[in-house]
Order: sequence, then C-alpha cells, then structure tokens
Amino acid sequence: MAKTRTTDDEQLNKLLRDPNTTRRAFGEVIERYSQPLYWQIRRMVNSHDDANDLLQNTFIKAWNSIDMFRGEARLSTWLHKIAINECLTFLERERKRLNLSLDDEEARIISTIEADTDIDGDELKQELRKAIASLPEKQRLVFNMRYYDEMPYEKMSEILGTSEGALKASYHHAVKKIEKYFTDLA
Amino acid sequence: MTDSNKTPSILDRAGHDDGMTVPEGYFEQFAARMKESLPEQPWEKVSADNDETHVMPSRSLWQKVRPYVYMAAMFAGIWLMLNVSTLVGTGGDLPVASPDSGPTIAALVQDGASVYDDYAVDNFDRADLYDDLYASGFDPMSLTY
Repeated sequence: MAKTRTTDDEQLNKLLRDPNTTRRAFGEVIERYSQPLYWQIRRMVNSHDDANDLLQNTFIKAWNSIDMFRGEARLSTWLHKIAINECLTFLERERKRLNLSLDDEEARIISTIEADTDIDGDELKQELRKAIASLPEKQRLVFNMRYYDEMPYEKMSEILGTSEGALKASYHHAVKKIEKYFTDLA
Repeated sequence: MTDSNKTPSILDRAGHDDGMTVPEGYFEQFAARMKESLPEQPWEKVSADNDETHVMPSRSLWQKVRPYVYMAAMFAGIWLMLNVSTLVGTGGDLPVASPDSGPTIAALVQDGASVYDDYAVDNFDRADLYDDLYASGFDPMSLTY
C-alpha cells in the first residue's frame, strides 16, 4: 500500500519547483506513483523484470527533465506519458532486436505471459491476458487504462492525445475482439 | 458507466484484477532504491556550493587592486585620446619640424632653397629691404641695370 498522501498534487508541484525541496518532493512522487505506473507498464510488457527496468527509466527520465515540468499539465498525466513512451519504445526495440512480425510478437507476449511466475494462479485471468495480447498495441493500451485502471476517458485523452470519441470507439472494438477470442476458444 | 452494459460476461467473471503480482515488499524497496539512485542535478550542485561558501575566501592583493588599475588605465586612455586629437587638430604644442628633425625633412628643406627665396621676395616689403641696405652702407641706387 502506498504511503498515505499527506500533500496533494498542487502542493507537490510547488515543492518540485523549489530547488531546495525538489529532491524531497520527487521522493514523494516516487512513493505516490510507483504503483499505478508499474501496473500500467507491467500490463504492456507482462514481465516483472522488464516492468521494473522501465519503471526505473521512467522515474530517471522524469527526474532528469524535472526542470521542464512547469506544472501546467497534471503531474500524473506527465508521468503516465513518460511511462507509456518508455513502454512503446521498449516494445518497438524488442520487435527490431528479435526481428519479429506482429504475429510473432503476439506469440512472444503469450510465451512471456505463460512463463510469468508473478501471478495469483487464476487461469481465467491468465487467459484474459492472452486475449489482450492479441490486440494491437494502442488498443491494448486503451483497454488496459479503461478496464483495469478504470481511468476516465478525459484523462486518457490528455495522456494519449486522442479524442475521447476515438478512445471510446477503440475500447469498444477491443472488448468485441476479446469477446470473440473467448468465443473462438470455447 | 456506459461501458458496463456492453461488457461481456467473460470480463465480468474475470473482474478488474489482472492476476499479476509482485515480489513481497517490492514497492517499498523500489521507492527506497529509486530515491537513492537519483543522480545529482546541476542546480543541486550549485545550491550546495552556495551553502558551503557562506564564508568567502580571502582575496589576493591583485584581486583587490585590479578594479582600480583597470579604472586608471581607462582614464589614462581617455586622456591620451583627447590630447592627441587636440594636438593634431591645432598643431599647438607639437615640436616644429626643423632640418634636424630628420633626414627626410632636412633634405626637403635643402632642396627647396629657391622655394624659400621666392617666398621671401614675394612677401618682403621693398622699402624695408632698401632701409636695411642703406643701414648697412650700401646704396642700391649705385647699381646699374
């Protein structure tokens, strides 16, 4: 469980902008956002080790560009953007490194899911993860944010820079595909 | 939520928990490790340096007098510029060129003797010249042309 939130985002923004308190405030950012960012990353890359590395990269990049963060955007939006960018870059790099087609990539993700030991053992949930792996990358991202994180479309729109209408349509298509996946499986 | 009406039963049964877990105490350890591994920022170094230099180090003699030396040099330069331009403009106190001033000027003066004569003849008053000649005992009228 994350540490109790003693300061809201607005106060945290102020502390981040003051050079004397930036480091301390960023420590609070790490404590506050480690979990939501980790799960967002993990659901995209599926492996705990990869998620751990990408989460570290996310915070390092945020820290190195903290002077660019002026507080206009919400702190969480800014961090989610960095995390998503890290995920997509990682997946693209892996595709190139292993010289994978989209079908091959789906197979690789499924094998990662099957090899994952950090799970609670629920087979239905594992199967749902595989169904999600069959979605195109961006649709997977939209589905995860909406279904698992229950993120409002407004915030998703801010993070992904896509209209709410397009996101709703994307989510709807993702649900249909998952439904079909289970129908075909039966 | 409008999406829930369209959610297939499989999603209802699976629930919103993805079934993934993390090692025990992962997030606490991650936060501690992450905070320690944050690199020092340039502005943090500057801030730290400022804190450490509350007592200014003593300045050397040159550092102390340097501004005054520069200022004196600046005034000297201004004085020189003003005086040189004044002298060149009026010709006032500059030493007059004489045959001794230099070989070039001397040569010019020697070579220009006739020029000097012409100048003298054109400008001397003839009566003054006769007075000088009478005073020296010479009668110019005794000359026959």
